[in-house]
Amino acid sequence: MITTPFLAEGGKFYMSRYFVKRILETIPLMLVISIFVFMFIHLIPGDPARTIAGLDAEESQVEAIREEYGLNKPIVSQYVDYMVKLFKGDMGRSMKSNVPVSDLIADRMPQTLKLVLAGIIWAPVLGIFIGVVSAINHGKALDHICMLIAIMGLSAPGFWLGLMGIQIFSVELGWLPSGGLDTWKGFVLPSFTMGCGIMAVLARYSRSSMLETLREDYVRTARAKGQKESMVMFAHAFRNSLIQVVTILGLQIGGLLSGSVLTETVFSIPGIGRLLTDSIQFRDYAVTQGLLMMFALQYVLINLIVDLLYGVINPKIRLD
Amino acid sequence: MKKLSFLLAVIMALTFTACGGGNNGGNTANTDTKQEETTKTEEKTEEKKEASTATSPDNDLVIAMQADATHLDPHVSGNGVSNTVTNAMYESLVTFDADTNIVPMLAKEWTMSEDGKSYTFTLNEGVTFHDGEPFNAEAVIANWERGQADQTLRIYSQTKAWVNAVADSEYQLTITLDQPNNTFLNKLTQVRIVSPKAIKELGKDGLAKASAGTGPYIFSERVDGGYTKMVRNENYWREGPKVDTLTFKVVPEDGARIAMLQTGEADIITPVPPIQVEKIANNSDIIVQNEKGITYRYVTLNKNYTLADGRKPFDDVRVRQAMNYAFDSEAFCQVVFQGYAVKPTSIFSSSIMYYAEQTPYDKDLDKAKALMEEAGYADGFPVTIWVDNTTIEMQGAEFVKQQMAEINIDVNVEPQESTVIADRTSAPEDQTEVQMWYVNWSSGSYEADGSMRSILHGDKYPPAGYNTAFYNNAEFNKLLDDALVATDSAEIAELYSKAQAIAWEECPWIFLANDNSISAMRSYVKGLTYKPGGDIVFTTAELAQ
Repeated sequence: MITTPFLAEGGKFYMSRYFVKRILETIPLMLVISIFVFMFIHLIPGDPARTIAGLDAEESQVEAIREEYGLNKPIVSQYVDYMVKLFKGDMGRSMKSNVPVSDLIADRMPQTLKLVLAGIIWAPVLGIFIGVVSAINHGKALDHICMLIAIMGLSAPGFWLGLMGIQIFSVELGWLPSGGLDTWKGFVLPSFTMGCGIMAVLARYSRSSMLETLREDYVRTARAKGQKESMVMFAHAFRNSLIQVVTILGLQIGGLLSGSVLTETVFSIPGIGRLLTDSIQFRDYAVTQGLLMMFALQYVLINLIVDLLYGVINPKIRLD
Repeated sequence: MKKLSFLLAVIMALTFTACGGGNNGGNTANTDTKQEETTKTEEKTEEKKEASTATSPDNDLVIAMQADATHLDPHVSGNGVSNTVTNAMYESLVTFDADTNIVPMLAKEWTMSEDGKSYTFTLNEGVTFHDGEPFNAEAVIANWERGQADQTLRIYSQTKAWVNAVADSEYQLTITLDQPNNTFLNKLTQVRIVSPKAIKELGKDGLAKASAGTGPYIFSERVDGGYTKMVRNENYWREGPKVDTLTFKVVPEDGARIAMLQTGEADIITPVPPIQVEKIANNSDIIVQNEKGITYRYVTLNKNYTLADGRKPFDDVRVRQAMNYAFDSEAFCQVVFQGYAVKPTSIFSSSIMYYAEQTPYDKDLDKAKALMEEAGYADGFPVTIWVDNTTIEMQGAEFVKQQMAEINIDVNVEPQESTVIADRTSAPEDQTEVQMWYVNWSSGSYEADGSMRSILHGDKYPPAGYNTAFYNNAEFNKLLDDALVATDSAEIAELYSKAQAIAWEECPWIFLANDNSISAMRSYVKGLTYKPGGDIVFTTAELAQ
């Protein structure tokens, strides 16, 4: 039973040690991930040098490209070269655009971050709100309506939502631009398209999580003790229901940071999602590797933060 | 259970109301729009007269394209999209006009030696690069030397045939080849001249985000995958653009691109997918540009393909001809390209140099069946066709399948990613699994040689080339080789004409169609010129103010 959000002195000490342990664990984890990522990418059929040079290029040019990017070396030595450079901070060069991978990511990441921000500013809040309202009014009309909204948000394909949005608000009404994040108006449609799915997922999760916690003994006890209903709801039930929600939210944000290629394509946003799919299509190994490693790291870090948040929400949670 | 059925009832009620309401609403809406449409057409005829006076709200030209230029250094990139972008900043010695004639650009005139092995160019004077360096013969030589020093660059393969480049004087340059080459000037149109200072000091990394050409626009800013912006070159050496800036925006989604043109966020868009043309054709503020294309589509028939019983159907010219007679290219153009394509009348499209018209293989099912019977394949045979896994290509392959079914050829369509196909089709003759390959080709420099050699010459079996039909006709090969080193244009035309006739008659492919290039722009855009194949030239672009 929680009575206070503050950590006890002993709990705080415990958290830091745990925190350090988790961070150290990420290093071997990332190493294993790097091996898998590298191997899988190189196993995909298709010759990158030929793809980059173009079908009409001379064989000598293709060969020269292979030499320059070390594609003729055995795969293990290519891996070692890559990892050594990575530790020095060099992510390699894009074969397609002939620029350093880090430059490409630096160019594109802000766009994706802006999009992620636009998505998570409203969607989780609205989603959790709908879910909680649903749970509190479990079985009544409000519950059904809220869940209907959630289902619609889940089922509407983002692609379709986006194009419909452009057609109505951009072409017909002329209120919003058809693409790009140059003005604040440009954020509205992409943010809505991306946020719908998140809102829907969180609505359902927070509802089921809230329903579960509402059934817990300590909630009944709190009520029996005469606590105000709003206090029961907020301080006890809702707080604890957040555990599940935070987990899901973490995963959703991790997914968003990997870029949403659909939203980026429909709204012509040069983000990370499109960079990834383009790099796969062109067998641009360095870019694909760099991005996948970055995404893996992001997920690992987000999981870490989520685990920390558990502690804040409920200090009694032991996560060994 | 009660809650569940209540919920279900709500959902069903809502769905039915939506449908029902839609229909009723739809009907009334239809009649309303019909009335509106009639008035609109009347208004439109009035409007069309005034359409040419439409003005642009600004003096910044924006073009939305499907893909991004891969690199802004013209010696690194070379695909169509990249060329459109780099051509705004860089120029070559000669170029093509809309009728596929080679015309002067940075070189004002030139002569070819008797033996065809050397060309002397008189260059324009008073031309400077964006970084202030002067354009002259030495500058051109520096470009050639760049290729010699770095074989990963496209400029290397573009200038490989040059044995030597010498500056006879400051503005006179002589290039020597080791043998005559009728495609020399074609290839020269693709050699864009970069300032020697930039080559040395910026290199390909610097030139990814800067420009050092002689072109009408100077690089301003770029976001990879987002847009590339340029400003007017005030020191351009001849009549240039009137617009202040030119921006190439990357808009991969067709629907979004069309929307941008409709809202005016983009002044020009390319390409316009055939299926979307209808949407904008009736808009009086929009002009659709439908140009003859240079891309030709065909299906290669691997002559070595062997059936279970040991027979080789594609080795028999009767079977190949039967397939061409069974294929209705006019219907193909309608169904797959909405009419924005033309039936093939030779190996390559008519905008390419030295095109010679042949008798088209118009649909004749009876003739096709007769040929199949004569060849002993009245019952047909099974075969697999490889195709890119993009919508329009797969549609085309399905069409081929359907047509071939009429002569009992059972085609199995196998869509794959283009990179995978590129891999599989470069397998050598004894290892390849290719049977039929749905593919297209084009020569960016409008060469007859470039349009045929890699895909039909006997020396170009994979992996050296893309001759996946494994076509090898000694006479054809010789005609191509002789034409390449010939110097008299009448003789060259004759040789290529014969070559086309032979390959057409032997039809190692099913000839499908030559698609058009469709772009669209707002009516206030002026001053654009087009190269064969629909390539847009922005040198004298203007927005009506």
